[in-house]
Parts: sequence; C-alpha cells; structure tokens
Amino acid sequence: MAVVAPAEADVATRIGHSALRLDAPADARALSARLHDSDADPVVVSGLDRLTDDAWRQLDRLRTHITRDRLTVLVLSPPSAERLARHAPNLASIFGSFLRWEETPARPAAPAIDEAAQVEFDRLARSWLEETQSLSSLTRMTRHPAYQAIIAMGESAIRPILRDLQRAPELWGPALHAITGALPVPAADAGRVARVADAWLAWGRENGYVW
Amino acid sequence: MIEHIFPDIVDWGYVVTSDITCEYSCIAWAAGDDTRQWWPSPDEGTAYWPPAAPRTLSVDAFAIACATLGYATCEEDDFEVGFEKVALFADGSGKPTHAARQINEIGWTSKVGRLQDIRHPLRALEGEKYGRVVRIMKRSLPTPR
Repeated sequence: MAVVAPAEADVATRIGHSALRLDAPADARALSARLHDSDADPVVVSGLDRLTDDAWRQLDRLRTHITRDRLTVLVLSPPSAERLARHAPNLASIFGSFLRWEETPARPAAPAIDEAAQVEFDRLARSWLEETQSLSSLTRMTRHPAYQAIIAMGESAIRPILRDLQRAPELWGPALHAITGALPVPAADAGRVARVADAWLAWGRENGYVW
Repeated sequence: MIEHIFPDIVDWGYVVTSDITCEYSCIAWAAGDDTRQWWPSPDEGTAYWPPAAPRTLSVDAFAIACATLGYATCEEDDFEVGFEKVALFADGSGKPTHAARQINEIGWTSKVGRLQDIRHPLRALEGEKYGRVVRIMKRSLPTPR
C-alpha cells in the first residue's frame, strides 16, 4: 500500500498499534534489507523524502526483495510519490494505486462532567418531577420554574440531562432542544418517549459528550 | 399519590388501572393511543400532534385533533349506546389542561400526568389542577357484525 500523506501525518497510529514504524535509510540497499528481514505486519515506512532519484531507481531493481507477503505501507509526500512513479515504475506497479491521506479534524476531548452542575441539575430535576407529575400539559411542564432553570444552565446541563436519559426516558427533549437548537428526533418517532431519548443519546455521543 | 393531588376523589370513588408511566399523555390516552405523548408543543420531537390539527394550545385545536379521529362536538356527557365520548378540560384562562375518555355509563378513564391511568366519575377531576370540562365530543362506535 502506498499512502500519499503530509510529513506530520501519523499514519502508523491510524493503521494500528501493531504497526512497525520504519524510518527509511537513505541507502536503498539498507532499506531493502530491513524490509526483507522484517516479519512485522504491517510495516509503515516513512522518511522516504531523503531517497535520491538514484536510490529510487535502485529500489526498483531490488523490488523483489522489498515485496513481502505481509502489509508494507509507504508513506509518501507528493514529490516522493512522483519520484517513485518516475524512477521506480515497476515498484510502483506492485504497490498499485496510491491512497491519498485524509486528515480528520481532531475531536476535542470531552471535558469531565461538572459535578456542581450535576448537583444543581439533580436538585432542579427532583423539584420539577415532584411538582409536575400530575400535569397533563407539556406546556405547563416545560414552563415550570425548575425546568426553565435547567434550560438556563445551558451547556452545563447537557451531560446531566443525558445521564438522566440514560437512566430512564423522561421529557427532557424540549430542554435539550432549547439549549442546543438540535433536532435529532426523526418525525416518525415524535412522542415515543424511549425513542426520543435514544435519539438524544445518539446525538450526545455523536457530538462528543461523555456522561 | 392520586388522592394527594385530588383530595376529593376519594369521595367520588376511583380505581387505579395502570402502572406509573410517562410513555403517553392524557390526550393520547383519550385518543386511544398508549404508545406516545400527544401535545401541540413546538415540533421538536417530544410530542406527536395530528398533522391536520393546529399546533396551538387551544380547546379548538384539541377539538380538531379529536375530529381527526371521528369525534364531533356534542352537548351531553351522558353515556349513549353506540357512541364513544371524550371530554376536554381547560383552566380559567381557557387553556387545555386535560382530556378524558368515557368507558361506560358510570365511568371515564384518564391518564393523570406522568402517573397512572384511573377510572373515575367525570367531574371528579374538575378543580384546581385541571380546571373544568369545557367540551364533550362523541363518535360512533363500529357496528358489530
């Protein structure tokens, strides 16, 4: 496999923790020997920018020593990919098509749940549940001062709400919608309390929340 | 718990007929649906509302929702053979608060908030919590073959 990627791309980590990282020596024979002698699967070879045109031509002649019955990944910058194709065409044909490395933006680590927010949510939720349990009106339920106070907590209320939904479905959808603006519930599931909860829990996971 | 909410209901007489659940609302139960919450709240998924009925908190909107199920406004809440009736409650400002469904000549059934279903005389739930009955609607029951 040949992967065209920027120098800073951590291809080995993306491929798997078992990958052997090999920083290519400038000498083609040395590189060939190290690949030939390695039983690792896979081997991820980087640093190929240091190979000269002659080194690539030499690697092309040594291609039978390089090819293995285990996975070898060459991490190439665009110029190196071009040199491989131009000066080691036989080797390039063995590796087949070149995969272009796609960087995905790193998801920021989810902060730990705010204990103070959890305590405040628990207090408000308990009050809300006790004082609205007989109400049939969803309007009156969500306008209750405790429910509005939870909405006013904003972002800090999201994890406690999701944690509560994980425990048991409850009518927290309006609060989450008011805080986030999201609309994750499919129309066909409207009103089905357990499915509404599942939709919000899925939304939470997709948006990096941990509870 | 029901008696704590409706102190006079003991005198009227009532029977609890389900477990506590928040899976459906009073209007859903009155409509014969025990699978989901019904309410004309903003359409963000928490509650279902018949598409043909306006998403407004008004007795007329509730009546239209019931009309989608074949109900039409009538005058009396007495039991009529061959008909099924629902009652809409509203508070002092005219905002809908509750709905109940008639089950026979002596009883109605209601889902009490996020608590249980109960069987009760219709007027037993009038008062501070649910206001009063403001509209009765009825529909024909299917004719047995």
